[in-house]
Amino acid sequence: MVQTAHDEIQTAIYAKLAPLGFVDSQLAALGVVGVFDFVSVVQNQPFDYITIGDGREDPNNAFQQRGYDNRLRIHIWSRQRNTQVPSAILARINTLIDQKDLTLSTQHHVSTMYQNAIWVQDPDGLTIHVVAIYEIFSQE
Amino acid sequence: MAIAGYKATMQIGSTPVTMTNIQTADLQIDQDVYDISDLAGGVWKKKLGGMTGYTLKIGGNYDLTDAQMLSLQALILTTPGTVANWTILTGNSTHSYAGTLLLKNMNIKFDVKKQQEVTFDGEGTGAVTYT
Repeated sequence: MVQTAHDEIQTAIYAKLAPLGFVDSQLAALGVVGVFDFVSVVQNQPFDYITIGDGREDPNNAFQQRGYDNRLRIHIWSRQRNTQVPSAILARINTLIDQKDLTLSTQHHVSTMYQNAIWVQDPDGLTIHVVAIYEIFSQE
Repeated sequence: MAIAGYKATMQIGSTPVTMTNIQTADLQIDQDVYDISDLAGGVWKKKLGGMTGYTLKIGGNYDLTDAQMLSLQALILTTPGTVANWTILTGNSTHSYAGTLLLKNMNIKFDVKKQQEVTFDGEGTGAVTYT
């Protein structure tokens, strides 16, 4: 897609975390039951799960050539009773995408770099919420 | 009326070909100015214009799949002393600057936190033309 890279990147990240629509086997072994667009999680969705899709896009152009810096957030939502499993889920996500090539449908992928993550308790008092941010540079 | 920077185009070659992945082009044209003040001339300095020259610095993403970037690298790696023809289309109608330069410096930056970047510094030989 031209003029924005957001959707191509989201599709490529989804393909890494859930190839052919099935949760990556190592993520599944850690208890991840689904990977969803952040606005598509159904009520009463069983835990643990991952959401993608929210983030920020900035232009990174050259003369006569469009480029995009996307800061993509990946959310881990876990009901397991400590941070050990959510951290293992994050480690697996990093293994899958940090400093790895992405296949974008039309754009040229330059880099994917893990920036930071935070571990917080959700206001429900039951859920551990990990927010990981990745910076992804692509060009048309 | 201001002109957006993104309208510019950097080109290399006697038959100008657009260079990709360039993000900045800095053309600096200087004239030598000499102080010819004398002791009897009062408090105001007197100046005399000298010769004119220029430097051109371009920078952007390192991308040797671009034939023009590869040709500039060759000018400093394999055929030093060879001149390069350059053109910058300003994007303002059909106006452009053009000239011939010798490369003085190629700086490739490998930074684990960002994309690989390159800058080329050149010194002009002969005039800058504006059309």
